[in-house]
Amino acid sequence: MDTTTTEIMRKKNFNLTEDEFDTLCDQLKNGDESLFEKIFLAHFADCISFLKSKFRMQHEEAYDVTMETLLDFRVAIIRDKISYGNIRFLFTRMASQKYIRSQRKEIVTQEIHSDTDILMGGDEPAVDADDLIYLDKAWAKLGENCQQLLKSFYYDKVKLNEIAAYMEKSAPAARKQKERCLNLLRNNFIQILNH
Amino acid sequence: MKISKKFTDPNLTNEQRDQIMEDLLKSKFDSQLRDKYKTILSKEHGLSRSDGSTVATQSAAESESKNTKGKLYLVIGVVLALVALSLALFFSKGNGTEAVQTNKAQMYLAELSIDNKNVTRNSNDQRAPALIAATKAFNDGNYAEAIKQYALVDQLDNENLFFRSVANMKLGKYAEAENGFKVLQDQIKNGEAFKSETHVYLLLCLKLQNKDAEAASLAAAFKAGSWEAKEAQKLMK
Repeated sequence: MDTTTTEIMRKKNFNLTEDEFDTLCDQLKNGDESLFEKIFLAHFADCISFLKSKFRMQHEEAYDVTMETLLDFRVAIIRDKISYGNIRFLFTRMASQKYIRSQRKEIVTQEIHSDTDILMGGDEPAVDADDLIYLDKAWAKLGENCQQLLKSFYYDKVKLNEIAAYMEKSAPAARKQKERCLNLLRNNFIQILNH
Repeated sequence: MKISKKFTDPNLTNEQRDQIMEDLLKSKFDSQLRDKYKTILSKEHGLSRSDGSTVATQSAAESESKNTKGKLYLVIGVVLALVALSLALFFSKGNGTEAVQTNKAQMYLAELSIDNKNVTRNSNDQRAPALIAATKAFNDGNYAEAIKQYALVDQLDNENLFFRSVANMKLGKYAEAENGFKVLQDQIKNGEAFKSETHVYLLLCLKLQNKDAEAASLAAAFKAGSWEAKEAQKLMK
C-alpha cells in the first residue's frame, strides 16, 4: 500500500492503520480498553456534530445517541463484527440508525444498510434500578474468577471455548464452572431477595 | 415481575436464564462504561452532556473572534490561576477543612491494623488453599497478593468479603471497598462479627472519596456512645 492510500485509509479509520486497528481489537478482547477509549472518545465530538447537523438534534440527544453507539460498537469489535475499511463511516451510520430507531420511525432510509443491523442490540432490557441494586449485591459476593467468567460470556460474548483456553481448562470444565457460578449468583439473589 | 425475581425461578429454561443474564449484565456494565466515558470526555476532551459549547460547531466567525480575544483571556487566566494558587496554598496551611478531613481519614487508614484470624476448618473445602494463602498475605500486609488469592475463590463468605474489602481499601481502591462494605452492611446480621467494623470502614471509604453528605448521613445513624459513634467522631470532628 503506497503512502497516499495509507493516509486515505487512516482518515477513514480514525487515524488508525490496519495493524493499529488489529492491536486495538486484540487489546479490547483481552480487557485492555485504553486504546479503544483513546481513539473513540477523541472522535466522540465529531459524531455529535454529525448527528446535530444531519438530524437537527439537540446536543444532549446527540450525546446520548453517540454514547449508546459507542457501547454497541465496543461489543461489535469484541465480537469480530467490525472490519478495517471505513470505520468512521460505519460508526456514524450506526449512530444514525440508533437515532432513527429511538424515534420509532418505521421508514428506514435507504442509505442505512442491513449490515449495521447485525451490530446493533435488540430491544432494551427490562432491567430497573432495583434489579441493578440486587445485582450489585449478588455480584459482589462472587469471587473474581466467577465474575470474570460470567462477564466474558454474557457481556463480552466471548465463546466458551475461548474462555476455556484463557483459563487453561477444557471446554467441559469451563462449562461446568459457568454453571456453578450461575448457581452461586442465583443463590445470592435468593438470599438478597428474601433478606 | 422483576427481572431479578424471575432469575431465581427454578423452572426457567436455559435460554430464558441466559437471556436474563445478558440483560442484567448489559445494564450493569453499560452503565459503568457510560459513567467512565462521561468522566473521560469531560476531563480530557472538555465535552459534557449538558453543554455543547466545546463541540466543534462554532462558526468560522466565532472562531476568529475567539482568537482575537484569546490573548486577553490568557492574561486574565494566568492572573486568576495565580490568585487561586495563592488562596489554595493559604487555605491548605490554614483552614482547608476538606484537606484536613481527607488527611484525617488517610491517617486513620494508615494506622488501621487488623489481623485476619480466619481459620479454614474444612479440609475438604476446595477453597481452602486460596483462602489460607489470602489470609497469610493479608496478615503480612501483602494486600495485592491477598486480593489475587481471593480471586481464586468462586464465592466469598461474609468474613472473607470483609477482609477483601479491607485489602481493597488499603490498596486505595476505595470504590471497590465501598461496594463490598455496602453489601456486608446488609448481609451481616446484628450481633454478628464485623458488623460494627463494616459500618466504620464504610464511613472511612466515603470520607476518603470526599462523599461527605453520605458519610454524615451514615454517621448520624450510629447509636450514641457506641464504638462506631466514637470512631466516627475521630473521622468527622
